[in-house]
Amino acid sequence: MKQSQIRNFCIIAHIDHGKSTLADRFIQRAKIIAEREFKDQILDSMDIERERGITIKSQAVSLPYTGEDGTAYELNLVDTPGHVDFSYEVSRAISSCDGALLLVDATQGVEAQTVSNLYLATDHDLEIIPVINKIDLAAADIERAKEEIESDLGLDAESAVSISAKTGEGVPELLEVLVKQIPAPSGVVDAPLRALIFDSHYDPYRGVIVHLRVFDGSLRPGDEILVWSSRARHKVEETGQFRIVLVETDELHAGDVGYMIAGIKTISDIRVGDTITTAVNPCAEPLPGFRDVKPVVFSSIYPVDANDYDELAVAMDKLKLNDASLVYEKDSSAALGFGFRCGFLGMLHLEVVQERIEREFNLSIVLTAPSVKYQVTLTDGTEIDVDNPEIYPDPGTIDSAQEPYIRADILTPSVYLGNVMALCLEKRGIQQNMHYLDERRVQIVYEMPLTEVLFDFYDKLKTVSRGYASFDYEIIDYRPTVLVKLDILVNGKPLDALSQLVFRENAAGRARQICRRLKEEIPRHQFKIPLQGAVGSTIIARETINALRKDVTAKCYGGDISRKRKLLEKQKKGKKRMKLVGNVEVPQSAFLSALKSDDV
Amino acid sequence: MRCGVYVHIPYCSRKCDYCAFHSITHWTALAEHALIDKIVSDAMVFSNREAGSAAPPVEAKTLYIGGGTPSTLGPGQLARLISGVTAALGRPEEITCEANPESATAKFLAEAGEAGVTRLSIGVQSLFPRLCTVIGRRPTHVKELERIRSEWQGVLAADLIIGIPGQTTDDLMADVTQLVEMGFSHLSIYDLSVESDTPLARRVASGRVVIPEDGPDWPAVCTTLARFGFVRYEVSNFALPGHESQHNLGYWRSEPYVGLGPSAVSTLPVGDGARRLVQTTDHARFLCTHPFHDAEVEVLDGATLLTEFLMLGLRIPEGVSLRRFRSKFGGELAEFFGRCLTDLEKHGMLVLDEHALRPTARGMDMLNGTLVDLLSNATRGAPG
Repeated sequence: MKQSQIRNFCIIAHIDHGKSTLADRFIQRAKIIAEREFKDQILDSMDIERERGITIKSQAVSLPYTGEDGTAYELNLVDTPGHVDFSYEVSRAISSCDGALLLVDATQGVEAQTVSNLYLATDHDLEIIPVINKIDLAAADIERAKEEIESDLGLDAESAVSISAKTGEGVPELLEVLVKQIPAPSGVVDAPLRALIFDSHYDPYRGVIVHLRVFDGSLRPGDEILVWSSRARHKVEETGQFRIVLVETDELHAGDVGYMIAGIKTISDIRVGDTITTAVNPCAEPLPGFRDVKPVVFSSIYPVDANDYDELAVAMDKLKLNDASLVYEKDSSAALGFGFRCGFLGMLHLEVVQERIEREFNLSIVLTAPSVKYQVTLTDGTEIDVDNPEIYPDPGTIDSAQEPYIRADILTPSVYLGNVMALCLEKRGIQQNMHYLDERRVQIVYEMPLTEVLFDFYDKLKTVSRGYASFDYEIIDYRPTVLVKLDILVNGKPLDALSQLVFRENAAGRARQICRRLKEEIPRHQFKIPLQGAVGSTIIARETINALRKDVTAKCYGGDISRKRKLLEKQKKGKKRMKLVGNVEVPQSAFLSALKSDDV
Repeated sequence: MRCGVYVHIPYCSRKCDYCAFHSITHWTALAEHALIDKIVSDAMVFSNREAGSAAPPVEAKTLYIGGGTPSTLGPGQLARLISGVTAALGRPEEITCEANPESATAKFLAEAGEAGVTRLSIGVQSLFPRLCTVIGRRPTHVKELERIRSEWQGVLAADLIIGIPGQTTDDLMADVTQLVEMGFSHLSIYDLSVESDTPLARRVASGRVVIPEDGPDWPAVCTTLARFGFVRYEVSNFALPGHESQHNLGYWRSEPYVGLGPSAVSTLPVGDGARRLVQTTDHARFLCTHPFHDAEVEVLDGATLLTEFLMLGLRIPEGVSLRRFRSKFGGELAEFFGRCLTDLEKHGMLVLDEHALRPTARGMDMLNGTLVDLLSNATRGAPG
C-alpha cells in the first residue's frame, strides 16, 4: 500500500476515558475478527488489563478502511497505556505515529493526565484531533468539554468530534476526519532502512517478536538487519502486520507498522526505542527518542519458597521481554534467601509486575519495602546512591542526604481544594502555583518528595476528592533530607525485607503502622511474639501478638474425620507459603499488608 | 468384626443457630416409623444376615444413638430401634443416647432405661440463658436437669460450649461445678465453632456477633475438673474413672465403625486401606436405597490412614501405640518422623517411650500445630 493511503495514529486519554472501548469499535467496524471471537477490550490481552480495565502494554492493530471517496486506507492504531507510571511506553507508542486522537470524557472533562499526554504528543509533532467521548451518558456536558479543550488544552474545539465509543455513535464521522486530518507518512522508500522498535513480545515458539514502525526504506525476510545500539545482527525470518493475530506479509516499507521475527532469542538484544537498519546498507543516523528507562521505585522480589528461585529467574527474564521498563539484578536477604532487586516506574508498575509473576507464572512472591534512590554524601566527601536499606551506610559516616522531589500537577473540583491541600501538606508538599481553570476546577502545583507519593498518595487523593481529583507528576531534582533506617523486629529478629529508609519525622508513624499490620497478619503462635520498630537500638514502636491458649479442633468423631483431615492437609500446604523468621511463621500476606497504604 | 455402631436420628424440634449437623424440624409419625424400620434393616445388611452382602459380619461393640435429637422420637420408637439393631448386631455393654432436657420426659427416660440405654448424654451447652440466646438455643433450666437426675439411674453426661461471646471464666466454672454437684459424671466441653451456612456464621459475617479471641481460661477449667476427680481422657472430654465413652474412644483408637441413618458415616477396613461410606441426607432416598451401594464412598489409602491414625490417636492421653503403628504401617514411627519428634518432645508437646507416642496436656491443647509440624516433616510416606 502506498504511503498516501496509510495513517498511523494513537489514542491518548486519561485512564477510564474510553480509549480501549473506542479501539474495540474500530476493530469491529474493520471486520478483521469474527463477531463471535470478539470480546471487550480486545487489545488488552493480559488478564490483569481486562480485570482492572486498564491498558498496560501498548498494542498495535492494522485496520482496513474505505473512505467516503472510495479510497482504500490502512489505519494503524497503536494503543497506549493511560497511567502515569507508563509514560515511557506512551512516548514510544506516540513516536511511532503521525497523529493522535485525544479522548476527553464528556462527563469528566479534561484531567491532569490528558494534559501531560497532550504535551507528549505535541512534543512529537503529532496532529491532534480532539474527541469528546461518552456523549450517550446523561451526565455528558459537551459544551463544557469543548470549553475545557479550548481553555486547558489550547486546542480548537470547533474541530472536536463528539462520539460514543460505547454505542458507536459518531465513529464513522471520526474515521473520515481521521483520514483527512492526520498526515500520511512521508518516509523515503529508497533510503536505507530506519525502523523504530516501539514494543516487543515473546513467543515461546518463535522467539522475540519485534513491533516496528518503518520510517524509511524497507524490510524483507532474508535481510540481515542491524540493531543500532547493540550492533547485533540478525537474519529476518518473517515480516507481517497486526490483525489481532499476526498476518505475514512479503515486506514492510516506509510508513508501515508491523512486526518482524528474526530468530532473536536474547531479550537484552531488543531495547524499546532503538533503531533497526540493514547490515549491508545501514542508515547514517538512528531515529531520535531512544533513552534508558529510569526506574524511580526500587524493591526486591523473593520467592516465598526458596526452591522457586530458578522459576522466578525465568519469569523475570520473560517479563522483561514484554516490559521494557523493568530493570532488575540478583539480590539476597537473610530472611528471604535469593531474589531480585528491581526498579519500577512507579507503584502501579510494581503491582502489575507482582500480579503478573503470580498469575502468569504461578509463583508466590514477597516484595520488600519500596524505596526511592537517595543520594548520600559521606563525611569523607564520597557521594553514593542508596536505593536499598541493605546498603545504607553507618549513620556515623554520613554527612548529608538528598532525596528526589517531584512536581505534582493536580486538578481538582474546587470544593475539594481544602482536602487536597491538607493532604499535600501532610506529604511535605510545597505549593508552587494555583489557578482556577473555571469556577469549578482548580489546578494546583506542588513540589514534594517522591517517597511521599509512593505509598498512599494516589489512593488518599482519590478518597479526599471522592475520586474527582487527578494527578500527574515528574521528577524535578534532589533536595536535602534527614534519613533514618527503620528496622522491624519480629520476636527480636530483624525482618530485613521490611527495613526501610524513611524521613526521620515519619519513622515513628510508619513503624507503628507496620507493627499494627503485622499483628493483624501473623497468626498467633504458641508463644508471645513482640513486634518492634527500631531506629538503631532505639525502639520506636511496639505491638505484641499474644500466645495461643489452645489450637485444636474441639470435636472429632466418626462423621468429622474426613473434614478435619482435609483441613489439616490444607494447613500443611499453607505452612509452605510461610516464611520462617527466627521461629515465627510469617505469611506472605503479612509482607504485602505491612507495606500497603493506610486504610483511608 | 467388632465395631462401634452409631445411629443418626435426624430430627430436632428446632435447630440451634450454630449447628451444622444434618436434621429436619418437621416430620410425620409415619416417616419416623419408616426411618426406624430402614435403620434396623440396614443393620441387618451390616450383620451380613441379608443375602448378597459381601462385607464381613459386624458385631456391635458399642451403640451410640445421636442426632439430631433422639429424645424427640415418638413413644415406642427408641425401644423398637434398640431392639432391632441389637437383634441384628448383638447387644453391647454400652448404649448411649443423646437427649435434650425438654424432650427427655419421664416417659422417655423410662423407655430408654427399659430398652437398655446405659448412658444419657444431655446437650446443656450453657446454664446461662443470655449465653444460650447468643448462640440461638433454647435455654436449659437447672430444674429440668434436676428432674432428669432424679428420674435417670444410669450414667449422665453433659455437653458444654466454651467461647460463647460474653462468656466469662466464672460463667463456665459455675456451669461445670453445678453439673458435677448434680451428679453428672462425664463432661464434654467444646469450643464454639462457627460452621459455614449456619445462622451464627451469618451473624459473625455481618459483624453482629464477634467471636472472642480468648474465651474463658481453659487451663483453669481443666484444673477445676481435675480437682473434682475428672480425668481429661480426650482433648474436650472429661469423666470420672470408668465413665469414659467407650464408643468415642473407638474413633480415637482408629477402630472400625458403622453409621446407620441419614448422613451417618462408616469406616471399615478393606485390604491394606479402608473405605469410608457416607449415607445420603435425602430421607426419601435413604428409605429406599442400599446402605453400601448408594453411599458416597471415600477410599482411604495407607498415607491417609496414617494421617488419621495420628490425628485421632494424639487426641487421647494414651496416645498412639507403637506396636499398632508398626503392624498397620510396616515401620517404626520414629523412622517416619525423625528429628521433628525430638523437637516436639523438647517443646513439651509429645512424649515418646517404648510403648507409645503420647500428647502432654499442652500437646492436646496445641494439637493442630503439632500435627502440621509432624506431618510436614514426615521423612517417608506411608506404604500405598
